[in-house]
Amino acid sequence: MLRSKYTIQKFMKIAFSGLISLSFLLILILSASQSCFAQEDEFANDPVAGTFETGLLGETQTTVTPYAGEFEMHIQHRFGLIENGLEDVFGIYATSNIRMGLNYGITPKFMLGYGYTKEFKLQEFQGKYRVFTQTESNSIPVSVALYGNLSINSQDKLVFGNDYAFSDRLGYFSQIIVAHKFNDKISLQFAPSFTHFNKTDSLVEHDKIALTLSGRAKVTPSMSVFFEYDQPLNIDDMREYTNSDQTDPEANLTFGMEIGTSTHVFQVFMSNYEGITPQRNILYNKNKIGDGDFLVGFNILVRF
Amino acid sequence: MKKMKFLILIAIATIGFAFTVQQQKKAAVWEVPAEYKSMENPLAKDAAGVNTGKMVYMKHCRSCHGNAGLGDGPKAARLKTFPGDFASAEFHAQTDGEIMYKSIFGRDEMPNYETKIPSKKERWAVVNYMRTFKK
Repeated sequence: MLRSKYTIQKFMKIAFSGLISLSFLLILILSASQSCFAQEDEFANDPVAGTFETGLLGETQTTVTPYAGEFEMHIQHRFGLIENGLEDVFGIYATSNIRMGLNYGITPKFMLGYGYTKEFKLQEFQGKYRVFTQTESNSIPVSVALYGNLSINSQDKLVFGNDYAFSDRLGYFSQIIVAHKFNDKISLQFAPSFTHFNKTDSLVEHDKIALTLSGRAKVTPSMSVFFEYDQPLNIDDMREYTNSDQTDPEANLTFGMEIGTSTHVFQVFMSNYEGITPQRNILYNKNKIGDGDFLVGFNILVRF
Repeated sequence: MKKMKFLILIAIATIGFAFTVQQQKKAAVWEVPAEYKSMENPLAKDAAGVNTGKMVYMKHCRSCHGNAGLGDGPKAARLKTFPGDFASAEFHAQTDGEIMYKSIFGRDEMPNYETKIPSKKERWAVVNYMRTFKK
Protein backbone atom coordinates (compact mmCIF):
# COMPACT_ATOMS: atom_id res chain seq x y z
CA MET A 1 0.00 0.00 0.00
CA LEU A 2 2.76 2.34 1.07
CA ARG A 3 4.79 1.35 -1.95
CA SER A 4 1.95 2.12 -4.37
CA LYS A 5 1.38 5.52 -2.75
CA TYR A 6 5.07 6.22 -3.13
CA THR A 7 5.02 5.19 -6.80
CA ILE A 8 2.05 7.47 -7.46
CA GLN A 9 3.90 10.37 -5.84
CA LYS A 10 6.95 9.70 -8.01
CA PHE A 11 4.79 9.46 -11.10
CA MET A 12 3.12 12.78 -10.25
CA LYS A 13 6.51 14.48 -9.86
CA ILE A 14 7.73 13.23 -13.24
CA ALA A 15 4.45 14.06 -14.93
CA PHE A 16 4.63 17.56 -13.49
CA SER A 17 8.11 18.24 -14.83
CA GLY A 18 7.08 16.80 -18.19
CA LEU A 19 4.10 19.15 -18.17
CA ILE A 20 6.40 22.12 -17.56
CA SER A 21 8.58 21.25 -20.56
CA LEU A 22 5.56 20.65 -22.76
CA SER A 23 3.83 23.89 -21.81
CA PHE A 24 7.01 25.89 -22.48
CA LEU A 25 7.35 24.34 -25.94
CA LEU A 26 3.67 24.98 -26.65
CA ILE A 27 3.95 28.62 -25.63
CA LEU A 28 7.01 29.02 -27.83
CA ILE A 29 5.30 27.51 -30.87
CA LEU A 30 2.23 29.68 -30.35
CA SER A 31 4.22 32.86 -29.89
CA ALA A 32 6.45 32.14 -32.90
CA SER A 33 3.39 31.84 -35.09
CA GLN A 34 1.95 35.07 -33.69
CA SER A 35 5.24 36.93 -34.08
CA CYS A 36 4.93 39.59 -31.41
CA PHE A 37 7.63 41.72 -32.97
CA ALA A 38 6.29 41.35 -36.48
CA GLN A 39 7.72 44.37 -38.21
CA GLU A 40 8.72 44.32 -41.83
CA ASP A 41 11.27 47.04 -41.29
CA GLU A 42 14.98 47.57 -40.96
CA PHE A 43 14.94 46.23 -37.39
CA ALA A 44 13.58 42.82 -38.47
CA ASN A 45 16.88 40.99 -38.28
CA ASP A 46 18.25 42.86 -35.26
CA PRO A 47 18.72 40.89 -32.03
CA VAL A 48 16.09 41.65 -29.40
CA ALA A 49 17.38 43.65 -26.45
CA GLY A 50 16.57 43.19 -22.78
CA THR A 51 15.18 39.64 -22.75
CA PHE A 52 16.25 39.72 -19.10
CA GLU A 53 17.79 42.48 -17.04
CA THR A 54 21.03 40.61 -16.38
CA GLY A 55 22.71 37.19 -16.53
CA LEU A 56 21.24 36.12 -13.20
CA LEU A 57 17.58 35.81 -12.23
CA GLY A 58 17.07 34.73 -8.62
CA GLU A 59 18.86 31.38 -8.46
CA THR A 60 19.21 30.70 -12.18
CA GLN A 61 21.28 31.95 -15.09
CA THR A 62 19.65 33.69 -18.05
CA THR A 63 20.73 33.97 -21.69
CA VAL A 64 22.09 37.47 -21.05
CA THR A 65 25.87 38.00 -20.92
CA PRO A 66 27.80 41.19 -20.04
CA TYR A 67 28.82 43.43 -22.94
CA ALA A 68 32.31 42.96 -24.36
CA GLY A 69 34.79 44.51 -21.96
CA GLU A 70 32.25 44.93 -19.17
CA PHE A 71 32.68 43.65 -15.60
CA GLU A 72 29.71 42.51 -13.56
CA MET A 73 30.16 42.14 -9.82
CA HIS A 74 27.71 39.91 -7.95
CA ILE A 75 26.85 39.99 -4.27
CA GLN A 76 24.40 37.19 -3.43
CA HIS A 77 23.02 36.73 0.05
CA ARG A 78 20.67 34.11 1.50
CA PHE A 79 19.26 34.46 5.01
CA GLY A 80 18.12 31.46 7.05
CA LEU A 81 14.71 29.78 6.72
CA ILE A 82 11.72 31.89 7.74
CA GLU A 83 10.28 28.98 9.80
CA ASN A 84 11.25 30.36 13.22
CA GLY A 85 9.24 33.54 12.78
CA LEU A 86 10.05 36.39 15.12
CA GLU A 87 12.56 34.29 17.09
CA ASP A 88 15.23 35.05 14.49
CA VAL A 89 13.18 37.67 12.58
CA PHE A 90 12.26 35.33 9.74
CA GLY A 91 15.79 34.04 9.25
CA ILE A 92 17.58 37.40 9.24
CA TYR A 93 19.54 36.50 12.39
CA ALA A 94 19.94 32.84 11.38
CA THR A 95 23.05 31.42 9.71
CA SER A 96 23.30 32.85 6.24
CA ASN A 97 25.14 32.06 3.05
CA ILE A 98 26.89 34.57 0.83
CA ARG A 99 28.61 34.58 -2.54
CA MET A 100 30.72 37.21 -4.22
CA GLY A 101 31.64 36.93 -7.86
CA LEU A 102 32.97 38.76 -10.87
CA ASN A 103 31.99 38.12 -14.49
CA TYR A 104 33.69 39.59 -17.53
CA GLY A 105 32.34 39.88 -21.07
CA ILE A 106 35.10 38.73 -23.42
CA THR A 107 32.93 39.16 -26.51
CA PRO A 108 29.29 40.33 -26.70
CA LYS A 109 28.27 36.65 -26.51
CA PHE A 110 30.88 35.03 -24.31
CA MET A 111 31.68 35.60 -20.66
CA LEU A 112 33.92 34.08 -18.01
CA GLY A 113 33.53 34.48 -14.29
CA TYR A 114 34.89 33.60 -10.88
CA GLY A 115 33.16 33.53 -7.52
CA TYR A 116 33.41 32.18 -4.01
CA THR A 117 30.65 30.98 -1.73
CA LYS A 118 30.79 30.85 2.06
CA GLU A 119 29.16 27.43 2.54
CA PHE A 120 31.65 24.62 1.83
CA LYS A 121 34.22 27.31 0.88
CA LEU A 122 33.41 26.87 -2.78
CA GLN A 123 35.63 28.47 -5.41
CA GLU A 124 33.84 28.63 -8.72
CA PHE A 125 34.78 29.19 -12.31
CA GLN A 126 32.03 29.74 -14.82
CA GLY A 127 31.50 30.45 -18.48
CA LYS A 128 28.52 31.25 -20.66
CA TYR A 129 28.21 31.44 -24.43
CA ARG A 130 25.12 32.72 -26.23
CA VAL A 131 24.77 30.60 -29.34
CA PHE A 132 21.65 32.25 -30.80
CA THR A 133 19.96 35.54 -30.10
CA GLN A 134 16.25 35.99 -30.80
CA THR A 135 15.56 38.49 -33.58
CA GLU A 136 12.93 41.26 -33.68
CA SER A 137 11.03 39.50 -36.46
CA ASN A 138 11.27 36.11 -34.71
CA SER A 139 13.16 34.65 -37.68
CA ILE A 140 15.22 33.21 -34.81
CA PRO A 141 12.44 32.65 -32.24
CA VAL A 142 14.59 32.00 -29.18
CA SER A 143 17.86 32.97 -27.56
CA VAL A 144 19.98 29.97 -26.62
CA ALA A 145 22.93 29.97 -24.24
CA LEU A 146 25.27 27.31 -22.88
CA TYR A 147 26.40 27.68 -19.29
CA GLY A 148 29.04 25.74 -17.39
CA ASN A 149 30.20 25.99 -13.80
CA LEU A 150 33.09 24.22 -12.07
CA SER A 151 33.20 24.41 -8.30
CA ILE A 152 36.14 23.51 -6.08
CA ASN A 153 35.40 22.71 -2.45
CA SER A 154 38.31 24.31 -0.61
CA GLN A 155 37.58 22.91 2.86
CA ASP A 156 40.25 20.98 4.75
CA LYS A 157 41.02 17.63 3.11
CA LEU A 158 39.93 15.76 6.27
CA VAL A 159 36.33 16.54 5.22
CA PHE A 160 36.69 14.23 2.21
CA GLY A 161 37.49 11.11 4.22
CA ASN A 162 39.81 8.27 3.26
CA ASP A 163 41.63 7.98 -0.09
CA TYR A 164 41.55 11.70 -0.63
CA ALA A 165 42.29 12.98 -4.12
CA PHE A 166 42.05 16.56 -5.38
CA SER A 167 39.31 15.54 -7.81
CA ASP A 168 37.02 14.84 -4.79
CA ARG A 169 36.66 18.57 -4.44
CA LEU A 170 35.18 19.14 -7.88
CA GLY A 171 31.51 19.64 -8.79
CA TYR A 172 30.21 20.40 -12.27
CA PHE A 173 27.07 22.05 -13.56
CA SER A 174 26.16 22.43 -17.21
CA GLN A 175 23.00 23.91 -18.63
CA ILE A 176 21.37 24.79 -21.91
CA ILE A 177 19.17 27.87 -21.59
CA VAL A 178 16.39 28.62 -24.08
CA ALA A 179 14.67 31.99 -23.67
CA HIS A 180 11.93 33.84 -25.50
CA LYS A 181 11.00 37.50 -25.15
CA PHE A 182 7.27 37.78 -25.81
CA ASN A 183 7.10 41.56 -25.66
CA ASP A 184 8.74 44.44 -23.78
CA LYS A 185 7.20 43.17 -20.54
CA ILE A 186 7.22 39.38 -20.56
CA SER A 187 10.11 36.93 -21.04
CA LEU A 188 10.22 33.21 -20.27
CA GLN A 189 13.01 30.66 -20.29
CA PHE A 190 13.42 26.92 -20.00
CA ALA A 191 16.73 25.37 -18.96
CA PRO A 192 17.55 21.67 -18.62
CA SER A 193 20.75 21.05 -16.68
CA PHE A 194 23.16 18.29 -15.73
CA THR A 195 24.95 18.24 -12.36
CA HIS A 196 27.85 16.01 -11.43
CA PHE A 197 29.91 15.74 -8.23
CA ASN A 198 33.04 13.59 -8.13
CA LYS A 199 32.44 12.80 -4.48
CA THR A 200 29.13 13.05 -2.68
CA ASP A 201 27.75 12.38 0.78
CA SER A 202 26.71 8.82 1.59
CA LEU A 203 23.87 7.54 -0.65
CA VAL A 204 23.70 10.81 -2.59
CA GLU A 205 23.86 10.25 -6.35
CA HIS A 206 26.73 11.68 -8.33
CA ASP A 207 24.65 12.83 -11.30
CA LYS A 208 21.37 14.69 -11.54
CA ILE A 209 19.36 16.05 -14.45
CA ALA A 210 17.08 18.96 -13.62
CA LEU A 211 14.61 21.22 -15.43
CA THR A 212 14.22 24.91 -14.72
CA LEU A 213 11.43 27.19 -15.86
CA SER A 214 11.65 30.88 -15.08
CA GLY A 215 10.20 34.15 -16.25
CA ARG A 216 9.76 37.79 -15.52
CA ALA A 217 7.07 40.39 -16.07
CA LYS A 218 7.75 44.12 -15.96
CA VAL A 219 5.41 46.01 -13.67
CA THR A 220 6.92 49.46 -14.26
CA PRO A 221 9.71 50.44 -16.70
CA SER A 222 12.37 49.69 -14.09
CA MET A 223 10.67 47.13 -11.80
CA SER A 224 9.73 43.53 -12.57
CA VAL A 225 8.36 40.51 -10.75
CA PHE A 226 9.88 37.12 -11.50
CA PHE A 227 9.57 33.43 -10.69
CA GLU A 228 11.66 30.31 -11.07
CA TYR A 229 10.81 26.63 -10.65
CA ASP A 230 13.51 23.95 -10.53
CA GLN A 231 12.63 20.27 -10.72
CA PRO A 232 15.39 17.69 -10.23
CA LEU A 233 14.46 14.48 -12.09
CA ASN A 234 14.44 11.75 -9.45
CA ILE A 235 13.72 8.90 -11.84
CA ASP A 236 13.97 5.34 -10.51
CA ASP A 237 15.37 3.91 -13.77
CA MET A 238 18.29 6.32 -13.60
CA ARG A 239 19.28 5.49 -10.03
CA GLU A 240 22.83 4.75 -9.07
CA TYR A 241 21.90 3.17 -5.70
CA THR A 242 18.67 1.36 -4.92
CA ASN A 243 18.09 3.28 -1.69
CA SER A 244 19.18 6.69 -2.90
CA ASP A 245 15.58 7.95 -2.98
CA GLN A 246 16.07 8.74 0.73
CA THR A 247 18.45 11.49 -0.30
CA ASP A 248 16.53 12.75 -3.34
CA PRO A 249 16.83 16.53 -3.72
CA GLU A 250 13.68 18.63 -3.50
CA ALA A 251 12.23 20.99 -6.10
CA ASN A 252 12.61 24.74 -5.70
CA LEU A 253 10.32 27.71 -6.14
CA THR A 254 11.71 31.22 -6.23
CA PHE A 255 9.62 34.37 -6.58
CA GLY A 256 10.50 37.98 -6.06
CA MET A 257 11.01 41.41 -7.52
CA GLU A 258 13.79 43.03 -9.50
CA ILE A 259 14.81 46.65 -9.95
CA GLY A 260 17.15 47.48 -12.81
CA THR A 261 19.07 50.67 -13.47
CA SER A 262 21.79 51.51 -15.95
CA THR A 263 24.56 50.27 -13.66
CA HIS A 264 22.87 48.19 -10.93
CA VAL A 265 20.36 45.38 -10.64
CA PHE A 266 18.69 44.50 -7.32
CA GLN A 267 16.72 41.30 -6.80
CA VAL A 268 14.88 40.47 -3.58
CA PHE A 269 13.06 37.14 -3.43
CA MET A 270 11.92 34.10 -1.49
CA SER A 271 13.39 30.73 -2.35
CA ASN A 272 13.88 27.16 -1.12
CA TYR A 273 17.50 27.12 -2.23
CA GLU A 274 20.25 28.11 0.19
CA GLY A 275 23.37 26.84 -1.63
CA ILE A 276 23.67 29.73 -4.15
CA THR A 277 26.00 27.62 -6.33
CA PRO A 278 23.74 25.78 -8.83
CA GLN A 279 25.26 22.30 -8.43
CA ARG A 280 24.85 22.42 -4.62
CA ASN A 281 21.27 23.61 -5.02
CA ILE A 282 20.26 20.95 -7.51
CA LEU A 283 21.80 17.96 -5.72
CA TYR A 284 21.51 18.80 -2.04
CA ASN A 285 18.35 20.87 -1.54
CA LYS A 286 16.27 19.47 1.33
CA ASN A 287 13.91 22.43 1.72
CA LYS A 288 10.41 21.49 0.61
CA ILE A 289 8.03 23.86 -1.15
CA GLY A 290 5.05 22.09 0.44
CA ASP A 291 6.46 22.44 3.96
CA GLY A 292 6.99 26.16 3.50
CA ASP A 293 10.78 25.90 3.85
CA PHE A 294 11.42 29.28 2.27
CA LEU A 295 14.14 31.83 2.93
CA VAL A 296 14.70 35.43 1.94
CA GLY A 297 17.53 36.15 -0.47
CA PHE A 298 18.87 39.07 -2.42
CA ASN A 299 21.24 39.62 -5.33
CA ILE A 300 23.05 42.85 -6.05
CA LEU A 301 24.76 43.21 -9.43
CA VAL A 302 26.99 46.10 -10.33
CA ARG A 303 28.16 46.72 -13.90
CA PHE A 304 31.27 48.70 -14.67
CA MET B 1 28.62 82.20 26.19
CA LYS B 2 28.46 78.53 25.22
CA LYS B 3 25.25 79.22 23.31
CA MET B 4 26.92 82.14 21.52
CA LYS B 5 29.86 79.96 20.42
CA PHE B 6 27.44 77.34 19.14
CA LEU B 7 25.50 79.93 17.12
CA ILE B 8 28.73 81.31 15.60
CA LEU B 9 29.73 77.78 14.64
CA ILE B 10 26.39 77.21 12.90
CA ALA B 11 26.72 80.56 11.08
CA ILE B 12 30.23 79.71 9.83
CA ALA B 13 29.08 76.24 8.71
CA THR B 14 26.07 77.70 6.87
CA ILE B 15 28.19 80.28 5.04
CA GLY B 16 30.77 77.60 4.25
CA PHE B 17 28.16 75.29 2.77
CA ALA B 18 26.67 78.14 0.74
CA PHE B 19 30.00 78.62 -1.02
CA THR B 20 30.44 74.91 -1.69
CA VAL B 21 27.21 74.69 -3.73
CA GLN B 22 28.39 74.78 -7.30
CA GLN B 23 26.54 76.70 -9.91
CA GLN B 24 25.83 74.39 -12.87
CA LYS B 25 27.01 75.79 -16.17
CA LYS B 26 24.96 75.67 -19.33
CA ALA B 27 26.11 73.09 -21.87
CA ALA B 28 28.35 74.43 -24.65
CA VAL B 29 27.23 74.25 -28.27
CA TRP B 30 27.24 70.64 -29.49
CA GLU B 31 27.99 70.17 -33.15
CA VAL B 32 26.43 66.97 -34.49
CA PRO B 33 27.95 65.39 -37.66
CA ALA B 34 25.84 66.14 -40.74
CA GLU B 35 25.10 62.45 -41.44
CA TYR B 36 23.38 62.11 -38.07
CA LYS B 37 21.68 65.51 -38.29
CA SER B 38 19.80 64.48 -41.42
CA MET B 39 19.24 60.86 -40.35
CA GLU B 40 15.63 59.69 -40.69
CA ASN B 41 13.93 58.13 -37.66
CA PRO B 42 12.73 54.77 -39.02
CA LEU B 43 10.63 53.94 -35.96
CA ALA B 44 6.96 54.90 -35.98
CA LYS B 45 5.99 57.30 -33.19
CA ASP B 46 3.16 55.01 -32.10
CA ALA B 47 2.32 53.77 -28.61
CA ALA B 48 4.57 50.69 -28.93
CA GLY B 49 7.57 52.75 -30.03
CA VAL B 50 7.05 55.27 -27.24
CA ASN B 51 6.59 52.59 -24.56
CA THR B 52 9.82 50.84 -25.50
CA GLY B 53 11.53 54.23 -25.32
CA LYS B 54 10.06 54.87 -21.88
CA MET B 55 11.60 51.62 -20.58
CA VAL B 56 15.01 52.58 -21.93
CA TYR B 57 14.72 56.15 -20.62
CA MET B 58 13.67 55.06 -17.13
CA LYS B 59 16.58 52.64 -16.93
CA HIS B 60 19.42 54.70 -18.36
CA CYS B 61 18.45 58.39 -18.47
CA ARG B 62 16.06 59.11 -15.62
CA SER B 63 18.66 59.35 -12.83
CA CYS B 64 20.16 62.55 -14.31
CA HIS B 65 17.54 63.90 -16.71
CA GLY B 66 14.54 63.38 -14.38
CA ASN B 67 11.17 61.71 -14.87
CA ALA B 68 9.86 64.52 -17.08
CA GLY B 69 13.16 65.38 -18.76
CA LEU B 70 13.59 68.63 -16.85
CA GLY B 71 17.20 67.85 -15.89
CA ASP B 72 16.25 67.35 -12.24
CA GLY B 73 16.99 63.65 -11.64
CA PRO B 74 18.50 62.49 -8.32
CA LYS B 75 22.05 62.57 -9.73
CA ALA B 76 21.67 65.90 -11.57
CA ALA B 77 22.80 68.09 -8.66
CA ARG B 78 26.25 66.45 -8.68
CA LEU B 79 26.87 67.32 -12.34
CA LYS B 80 28.92 70.35 -13.34
CA THR B 81 26.83 70.88 -16.45
CA PHE B 82 23.05 71.28 -16.50
CA PRO B 83 21.67 68.12 -18.18
CA GLY B 84 19.20 70.13 -20.27
CA ASP B 85 15.46 70.74 -20.38
CA PHE B 86 13.82 68.24 -22.75
CA ALA B 87 10.52 70.09 -22.58
CA SER B 88 11.96 73.30 -24.04
CA ALA B 89 11.33 74.55 -27.59
CA GLU B 90 15.11 74.68 -28.09
CA PHE B 91 15.36 70.91 -27.48
CA HIS B 92 12.48 70.07 -29.80
CA ALA B 93 13.88 72.27 -32.57
CA GLN B 94 16.56 69.58 -33.05
CA THR B 95 16.13 66.78 -35.57
CA ASP B 96 15.55 63.19 -34.33
CA GLY B 97 19.01 62.36 -35.65
CA GLU B 98 20.61 65.06 -33.50
CA ILE B 99 18.83 63.87 -30.35
CA MET B 100 19.76 60.24 -31.06
CA TYR B 101 23.42 61.15 -31.66
CA LYS B 102 23.72 63.13 -28.43
CA SER B 103 21.85 60.47 -26.41
CA ILE B 104 23.94 57.54 -27.60
CA PHE B 105 27.42 58.90 -28.25
CA GLY B 106 27.60 61.44 -25.42
CA ARG B 107 30.46 63.79 -24.49
CA ASP B 108 32.06 65.02 -21.26
CA GLU B 109 29.68 64.22 -18.37
CA MET B 110 27.08 62.65 -20.69
CA PRO B 111 28.20 58.99 -20.91
CA ASN B 112 28.47 56.96 -24.08
CA TYR B 113 25.64 54.42 -24.41
CA GLU B 114 26.77 52.56 -27.53
CA THR B 115 27.33 49.30 -25.61
CA LYS B 116 24.54 49.74 -23.06
CA ILE B 117 21.91 50.45 -25.72
CA PRO B 118 23.14 48.32 -28.64
CA SER B 119 19.71 47.94 -30.25
CA LYS B 120 19.04 50.49 -33.02
CA LYS B 121 15.32 50.15 -32.34
CA GLU B 122 15.78 51.12 -28.70
CA ARG B 123 17.98 54.08 -29.68
CA TRP B 124 15.21 55.54 -31.83
CA ALA B 125 12.54 54.53 -29.33
CA VAL B 126 14.14 56.66 -26.63
CA VAL B 127 14.07 59.63 -29.03
CA ASN B 128 10.36 59.00 -29.59
CA TYR B 129 9.80 58.99 -25.84
CA MET B 130 11.76 62.22 -25.33
CA ARG B 131 9.57 63.85 -27.97
CA THR B 132 6.58 63.32 -25.63
CA PHE B 133 8.09 65.81 -23.15
CA LYS B 134 7.07 68.69 -25.40
CA LYS B 135 5.10 71.31 -23.48
